[in-house]
Amino acid sequence: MNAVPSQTLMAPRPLNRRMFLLGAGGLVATVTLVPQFAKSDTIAFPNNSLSYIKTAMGEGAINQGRITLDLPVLAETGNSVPITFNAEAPMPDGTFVKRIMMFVPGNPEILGADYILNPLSGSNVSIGTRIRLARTQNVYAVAQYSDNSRWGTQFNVLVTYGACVEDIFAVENEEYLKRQEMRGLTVPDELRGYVVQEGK
Amino acid sequence: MADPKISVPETAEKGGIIPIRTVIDHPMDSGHNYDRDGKLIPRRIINTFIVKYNGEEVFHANLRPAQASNPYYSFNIKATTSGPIDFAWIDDDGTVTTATRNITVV
Repeated sequence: MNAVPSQTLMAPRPLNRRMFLLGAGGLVATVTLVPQFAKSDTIAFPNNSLSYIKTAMGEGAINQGRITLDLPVLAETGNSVPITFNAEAPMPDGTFVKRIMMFVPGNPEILGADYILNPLSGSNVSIGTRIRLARTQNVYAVAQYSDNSRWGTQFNVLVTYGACVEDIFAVENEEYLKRQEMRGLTVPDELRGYVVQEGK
Repeated sequence: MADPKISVPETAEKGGIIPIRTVIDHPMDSGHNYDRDGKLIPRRIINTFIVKYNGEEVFHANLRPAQASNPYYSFNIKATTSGPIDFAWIDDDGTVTTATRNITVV
């Protein structure tokens, strides 16, 4: 609105196209502001994760905020996706993070990880690890603080090639051979060097 | 399970942060994968990772099949007093791998 000279606003002029658009723009801005004020500060978790949360952290709404997930937006393989849990702690009143749970609804088992912390480890929370993702999905995390408040977040990860299919196609992969040895299994010689042709 | 690799600083400032990083070799068979003959590879993972500082349990992770193979962890502990930091990885088959590092708090 600052760009409009004050005279044009003061002068009684018929409603031309430019003024109409300015007015309409202002109306749209007012309308779109309303949902932001009405935005919920709680977060909905997948239904089948609620029983885990209830058992570990009790019932009630989960606030949005305080915990953040550091994840790649695009994961080329779901076999090893780096993830870091960061939580605001300690809070000014000295509360720390007591427990963190992570949920992966797109995996065969929804509970992805469960960490139990204490004041020494729950005061500067930055837990880094690597997880498996079977497909593109939202990763959820919830943190329980020592005052029993729960704070959650979610992050969408695009997975190009999911976990759970690796072993069939990765026969020539050294990592696979190493794992087979650790399992006490061997890979037949005729399968070594086997390459899956594109489109088959 | 092979010997775990652990990174713990030798000294830390009292009240400061001890950054810890650990990794251990393990296939972490989730129980959802099939081998080439179409047989289900049975679940075999490290199900628990425990860290004790001066005998007090400070970090307890219940690992799940969603954990990637060769589980890696990095986390922070607040430095209080000098003493041992004990690590334990518990396998589904009951094997427990342990390791200890000592830290001097100045």
